[in-house]
Amino acid sequence: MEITDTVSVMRRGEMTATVKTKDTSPEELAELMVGRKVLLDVAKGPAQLGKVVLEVENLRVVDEDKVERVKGISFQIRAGEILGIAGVAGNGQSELLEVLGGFGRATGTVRLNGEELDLTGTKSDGQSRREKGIAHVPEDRQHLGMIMDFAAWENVAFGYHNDPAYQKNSLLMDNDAILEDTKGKMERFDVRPPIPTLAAKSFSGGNQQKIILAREIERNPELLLVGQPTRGVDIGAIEFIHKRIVELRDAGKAVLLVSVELDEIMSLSDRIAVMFDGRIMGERDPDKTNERELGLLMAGVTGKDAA
Amino acid sequence: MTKLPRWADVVLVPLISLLLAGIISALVILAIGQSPSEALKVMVDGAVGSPYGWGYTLYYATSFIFTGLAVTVAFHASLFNIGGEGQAQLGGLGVALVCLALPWPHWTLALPAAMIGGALFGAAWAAIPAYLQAKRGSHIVITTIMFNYIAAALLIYILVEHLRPPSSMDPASARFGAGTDLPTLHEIPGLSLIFTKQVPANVTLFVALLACWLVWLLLWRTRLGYEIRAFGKSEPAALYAGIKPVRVTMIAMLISGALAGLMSINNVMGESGRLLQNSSEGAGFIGIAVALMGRNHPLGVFLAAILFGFLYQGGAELGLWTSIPIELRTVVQGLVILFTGALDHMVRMMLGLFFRPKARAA
Repeated sequence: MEITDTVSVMRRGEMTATVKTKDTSPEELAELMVGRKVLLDVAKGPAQLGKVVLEVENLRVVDEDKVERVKGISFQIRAGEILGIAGVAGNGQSELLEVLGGFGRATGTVRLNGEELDLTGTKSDGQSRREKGIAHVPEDRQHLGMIMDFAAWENVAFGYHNDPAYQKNSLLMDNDAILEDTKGKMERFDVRPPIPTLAAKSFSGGNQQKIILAREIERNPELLLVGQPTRGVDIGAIEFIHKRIVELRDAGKAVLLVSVELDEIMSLSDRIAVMFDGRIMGERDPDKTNERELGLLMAGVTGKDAA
Repeated sequence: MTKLPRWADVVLVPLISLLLAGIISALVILAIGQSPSEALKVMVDGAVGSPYGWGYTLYYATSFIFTGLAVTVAFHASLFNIGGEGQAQLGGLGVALVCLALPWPHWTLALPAAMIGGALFGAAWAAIPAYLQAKRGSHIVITTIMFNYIAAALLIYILVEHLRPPSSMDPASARFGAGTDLPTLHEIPGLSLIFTKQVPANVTLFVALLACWLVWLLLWRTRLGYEIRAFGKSEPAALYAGIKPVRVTMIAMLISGALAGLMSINNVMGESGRLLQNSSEGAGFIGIAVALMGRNHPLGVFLAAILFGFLYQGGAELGLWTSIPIELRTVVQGLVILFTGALDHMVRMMLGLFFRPKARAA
């Protein structure tokens, strides 16, 4: 704001607006950054809060290049609550999900139902996190969440391939059991086409996401980590996916939702934390805030600066 | 690119690739002033025209099945094991040490022990590049190539300094005892009716077929195979799923090395009956082509191994009965590798043109 003459706003790889700096304000830029103003209506009742499921204290992540990505954040999620993490992509949300999902290294303390989780990578991985009841719908489904060349049924076992229900005996996997399970999941999650033997890459983005969601949600996890649940997903599937996430919350589970879509955060979350530059800039009640305020926090402008 | 129907992908593409390789080979034979049809006749007669020819073709194929499977297992973990040659030679050392260690009373006892020896030594030779890849990120292609040279040098040293009988000038071990002689196809009741003359193909062929089935089972029916394939497709996704990269890299390479080492029960124990210098004779490298052509599937590896066995034996016959030099078989092999491996996409693209209109109508 201080050193530029004109400001351009980029969103989803496109220049969406260019304005003269002297004609604009942080508020207007925030709105431009937030983008589409489609308010998704998610039917959800008031949260029935239970005990604290996830406690994060002073979590720090330093990446391979020695850059500090997460700079000491602390928060809690209760049972029956959706905590939404808002923020522009690349402000530490992905690292947070990786650490909680078991495949990122960090310092600090993370407790699940009071039990401390290993963050050093020596005693934890994606398997041990799943065993503890943490399910994870990753931000990048094609890169992390699925093997695109694997068939749908093979992807349903992805991360759960050690599940005793999927084994024929101590040596061999029971592929028929996985196929059968996949058929059921495809039906319940309305995956189209419902063909378990089709390669994951042959499904649309929305249907890939439904396969992952079915895999993770039907495990009935204590905590569901979900990143960008509707990125690249068609409108019809968005509604379906949101409904399933709310259902899990209503079943008394904790949900950590990371999304760059503000309206998604606002309509799903029971509480919103905004991340900027590896820090939580503030927590807001979705009913008592607006996109402009959140947009400012996302840009690193705290209440005092904006005033 | 148009997606080909499955039958075209599995059957038509390799056949056309082979045909193209055949045509170019024919042109090469023409260019050196020989008759391609005569050459083809000699090759077919010599390699598959008689049970005797088959006895050689199957002997070579047996070796290629093992080395092809070795490349296949590593390939599914996205590891390009070029070190089958060295691993097979070390496997030969393992087999030789086992065979020389005891006065084996019968081959049925000696074979399992020799298999363990060959597999262990082959796996051990693959373990070092695997560890360097898994822990230090040293590229497996570079390290396995280097280990081929180290293996060759190591073997010469061991043969000359330790295994060579004092009276011999030949860099080879002493002959193994009679109790280690594996029955050839000629000596197996029933099969001896077909193979009426002594042939080098031996019971190892059946071990190789069993290995094909076991590798298929491993890759597509076990948790380990699932982890190997998932890791091979995407390392970040494997991490997400809780698959440990170091563990999978190590295990896949150990299995790969063990399979390459197992080859030696065919040539060292089954054929020569002693450990020679360069015992594997390039079979480790041919395994790469076999795996490539066999689409990294055990059934494909089996078929491709038979084809390369045919080329190997047929090429030898060429050198024997015609004035075409034996080196031509290397040319033919090279062309087959070129067309089935490197130019695979070219054939697919050409075929895609034929399949496109149909696909649109459907």
